[in-house]
Amino acid sequence: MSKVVVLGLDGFNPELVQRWLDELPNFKKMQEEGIWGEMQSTVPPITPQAWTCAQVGRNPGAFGFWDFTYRDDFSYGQPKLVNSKIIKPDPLYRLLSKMGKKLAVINVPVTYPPPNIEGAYFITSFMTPSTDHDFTYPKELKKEINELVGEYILDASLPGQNYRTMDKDVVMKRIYDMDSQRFTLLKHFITEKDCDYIFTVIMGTDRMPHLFYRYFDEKHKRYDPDSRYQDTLKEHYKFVDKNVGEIRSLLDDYTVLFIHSDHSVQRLDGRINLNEWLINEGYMTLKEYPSELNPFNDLKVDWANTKAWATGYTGQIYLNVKGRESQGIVDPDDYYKLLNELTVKMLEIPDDEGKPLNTQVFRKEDIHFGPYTEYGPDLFIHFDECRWNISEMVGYKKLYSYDTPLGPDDGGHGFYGYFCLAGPGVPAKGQYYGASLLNVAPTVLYYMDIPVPRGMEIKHALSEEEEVVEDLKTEEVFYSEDDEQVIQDRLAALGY
Amino acid sequence: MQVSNEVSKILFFPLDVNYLANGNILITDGGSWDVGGWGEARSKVLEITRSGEIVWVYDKGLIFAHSARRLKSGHTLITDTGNNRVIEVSPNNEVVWDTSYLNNKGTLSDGSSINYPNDAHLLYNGRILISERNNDRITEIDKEGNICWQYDRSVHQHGVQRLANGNTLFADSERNYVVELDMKGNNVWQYGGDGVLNWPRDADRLSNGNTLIADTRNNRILEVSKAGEVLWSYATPRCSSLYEVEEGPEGHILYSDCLGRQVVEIDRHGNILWTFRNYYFNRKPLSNLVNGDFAEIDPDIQLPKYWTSCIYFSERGGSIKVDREETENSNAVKLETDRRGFLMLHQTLAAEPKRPYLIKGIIKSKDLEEFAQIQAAFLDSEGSYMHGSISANHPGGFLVKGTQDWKEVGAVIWSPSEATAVDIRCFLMNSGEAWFSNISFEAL
Repeated sequence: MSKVVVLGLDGFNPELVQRWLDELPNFKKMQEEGIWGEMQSTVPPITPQAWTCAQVGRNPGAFGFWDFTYRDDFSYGQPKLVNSKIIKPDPLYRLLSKMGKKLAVINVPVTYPPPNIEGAYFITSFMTPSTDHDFTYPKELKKEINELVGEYILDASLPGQNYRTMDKDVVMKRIYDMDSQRFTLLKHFITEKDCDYIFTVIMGTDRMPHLFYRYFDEKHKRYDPDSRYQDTLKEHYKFVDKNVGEIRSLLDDYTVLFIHSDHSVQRLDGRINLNEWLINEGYMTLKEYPSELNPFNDLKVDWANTKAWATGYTGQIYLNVKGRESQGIVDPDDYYKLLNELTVKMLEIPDDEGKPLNTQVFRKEDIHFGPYTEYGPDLFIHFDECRWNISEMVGYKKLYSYDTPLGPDDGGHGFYGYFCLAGPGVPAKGQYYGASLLNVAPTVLYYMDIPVPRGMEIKHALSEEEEVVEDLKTEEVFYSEDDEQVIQDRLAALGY
Repeated sequence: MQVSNEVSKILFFPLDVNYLANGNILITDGGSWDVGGWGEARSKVLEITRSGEIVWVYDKGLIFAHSARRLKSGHTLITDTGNNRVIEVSPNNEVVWDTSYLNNKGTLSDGSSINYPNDAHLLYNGRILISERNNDRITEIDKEGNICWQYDRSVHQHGVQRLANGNTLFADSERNYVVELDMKGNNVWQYGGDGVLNWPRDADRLSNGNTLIADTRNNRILEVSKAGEVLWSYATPRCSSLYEVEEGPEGHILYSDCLGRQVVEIDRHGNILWTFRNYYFNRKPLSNLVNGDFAEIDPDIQLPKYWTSCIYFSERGGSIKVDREETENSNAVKLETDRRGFLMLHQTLAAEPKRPYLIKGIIKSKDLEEFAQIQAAFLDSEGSYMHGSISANHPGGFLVKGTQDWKEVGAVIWSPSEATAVDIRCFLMNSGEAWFSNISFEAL
């Protein structure tokens, strides 16, 4: 039976790892010794639900959020902020703790407020109001952290400032400081705490490409070839690599290291202002077009004349359905017709120069299932494989924009992240195809010799034989028998 | 070789069929097999109205064209299979794009050449998705011929479709599966297997998320859910080679029956709503089989009297020989070819529905790549080839393979309901040599 350390690298890009592999000796060695590949993210590929999917082994329909905000009724917009309390299925930390395992969860998104789990350690993530709030469990852990790394840095952004608009050198220094704290804490927990399972997420791997992608990618719309930041992103990958080497040297012979990202960060080509598009196409009507840029929540929408609306900065569209939303006008009989119509029209949206995009459109019911699915967006759109992001804002008076009031952004999220694992029991299998975030929980459980509970959507581990350990006979009442049947049918269709 | 010259017919081998936005129907006709090779001018793409009026034809240089799609621009994208190319044709029949000229010599960015394309779509991303049967791959190329995506683990696939979510659905025909791939080429859904599907030729994802499948050699159309449940199926004896299916307005289904030489639209209750078909009978069927021992030879063309020779090659060129060879008791006819496709002698006889017939003959073979067979293809009142025949798709127990000395083959076969005639054929599939003699066909 092994212990497992999971190192989460937010936004880590598998293509860049392969491109720079000769300068990343520790990743190279780990790939040679274990299993690695691309790891499919969630739709849409955003941090909060991606890490949560990996932890619960289920799609977002099982826990009810697709962004940093969510709705749990049929209100217009997503009025609530996600937090750890709303995750109903057991994340790995809760499951492992029930099995009597000692564990630590460091900087994992959507763990605030820190759960009170006896025998577990929590240090919450950037989605924490401030370090004045309780961001650790147990509370006393805060003192230990401060002694070890000083004042805990929650995020690259400074209070009252967004990291995207801060001075590049200042924010870069802060990212290195922040990531160094996480690595120091991870190493401390490995050597001092005797945990069976440690899960740490590094955020700098997401923040850095958002800030520095334009300096090395000649295809980037704002490519700046002569900048002193040309190698900045690569240097950060090397910094992560060095830490991977140090972490591996600290691990005993019984510990598996599992590195994975939640999505990748890739070149951003622009934004499509989706609500502007819906207005232009006649699907959305405003009582008053704003004189300046307004987010969705500030728009004066004429709901009696609106069929569809979009929220957020990834492609999420909701229909205004009669009998569902309070002022719904779309007849349920026309629901699929409207979805198909929107799908075709969005697939045809070209870039700002009229060139076609390689766009994907997903219907909620085709990819998500579970008790919260009904509250989720009806359509998801990846414009040009997510190289074109969305803005929900209105007031641009045009379909395309690049920046938002949040500041400039070099990177967009990609649908395929990275993973690599090595250690006792992990075969030197090389590249693995077809891995998904939903493989993460079963893989951790497999190497800890713990059965996979009912309800986890993929049962097999990333291992030699893709082995399945028998279902856990826990009192799993999260899914009804009907839901369970639906899931089983889907899995059977997928060949699981 | 000498060939018969039958009267030109409208529809010879409808491979693809599509609903058009203007209400018309687009049909791709592979061409005739009653003339020497793929009748160049007989393969064509037709746009017809619902009353059967032909409003547009493109046939220039086409050989065994397999598919055509009307593009939003009004142009038509055609797989010109026998010429190993995909072309885009304008409404006034100008070729505006032709893969034969990619990179100056018709090659793709990896140096390969398109080989036996059997389906092509213009995607929303501006690229072309092509199924190439003889390369066993599905390729997504831009208009300059750069390969942007490909999948090469299928076997003689057909009927590719790119879904809105970026996945690719296709009929993996020789593997008897319908497969959905994600953007990385991972198999994310499949339906079929031996005994479940038999050489599926087309698969379409419907707007309700189910999958419509042409289960060709089981002669049926299926609608299958994501969970693999068969929700609807349709089968009829008045169809023999269901190749392409498409869902249209109100759930109606349009299909091509290529050996039946017809295009049919049905509703979900199985009612036939519309057909566009061929009238095959241009000569009177014989009342009985004659010259089954090939004793009588036409001195002018040196072929057996009363028999008609046909070739049906999926790849052009090569040599074909029809000779006599002495057996102990009678003459024999020898069919020989060195390539893919088929070669046959046939004779059309009157037949009655729902009664047993005895078909017999002797066959000898040498180095057959595929098989030789004595076939009985029943025809309905309009000359369409019917399910229940003894044919390549429905072997009926007497395929001769490899190298064999003289062997008697025979079977009792019941004619399908609605049969009015039968085509008796000495049939050779793909390369090799086969001798036939003592052919008989009698009502029991």
